[in-house]
Amino acid sequence: MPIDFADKDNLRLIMIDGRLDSAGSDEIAMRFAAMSSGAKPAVVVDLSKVSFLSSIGIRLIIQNAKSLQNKGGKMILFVGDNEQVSTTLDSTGISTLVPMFSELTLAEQAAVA
Amino acid sequence: MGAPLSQFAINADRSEIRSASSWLEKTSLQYGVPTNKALVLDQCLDEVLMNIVMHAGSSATQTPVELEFAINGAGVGKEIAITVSDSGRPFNSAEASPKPKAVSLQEAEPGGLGLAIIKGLSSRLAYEFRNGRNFLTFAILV
Repeated sequence: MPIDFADKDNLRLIMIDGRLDSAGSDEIAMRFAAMSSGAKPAVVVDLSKVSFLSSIGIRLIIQNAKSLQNKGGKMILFVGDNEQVSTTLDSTGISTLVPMFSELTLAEQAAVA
Repeated sequence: MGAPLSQFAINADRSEIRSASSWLEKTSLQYGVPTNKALVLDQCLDEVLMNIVMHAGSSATQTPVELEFAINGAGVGKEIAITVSDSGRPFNSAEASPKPKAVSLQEAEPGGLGLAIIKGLSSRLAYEFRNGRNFLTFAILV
């Protein structure tokens, strides 16, 4: 399952592509943790190309968001027009804990604010 | 309720959940389930199966987890129903309450969201325990 990152100034954009079910989450867990470990204090996770987000995938997001927060950083989610992902995040209440934006610019601004 | 149109079985093992998803995808396509609804069914199925794998105990691994796909009703009330049966410890997902939503990230626990997702997405949830097996049916209106 593809996961990659791009750094700009003090922000890291992590891009995840594919199915974030238990198998997908297992596949990227270590890399995701390493990428969001605090090298940059502001992290935007691009979920716009995630085709499926399960509670296991959400678990991964929460774990890493908490870890980053404990180091003084902040994680923001970018979902684009991905309805499956945004509905899942809303229905579980996670979008109130880890802010979610459909516009990348707004997500990046929120991350560095 | 309609007779099942398709049936499938997997072992209660994390590595087999994707094969259940593939079965559901093929079956949904075969019976003309709209893509957005098929995705909702897929999501619920994934959560139900993960709950079995993670929480149903060792007895769940003694027999296959059985899946059934059915279409009930017609017109406005038409629904797609998936029934999942397993031999794990009895657990009534239909009546269990999801964990309260956390109010802060620090308070948030990584687990316990599967039930919230299933209840949030399905239009009907039914449970019975019969002949030593859990039978959970989740349905969505199409």
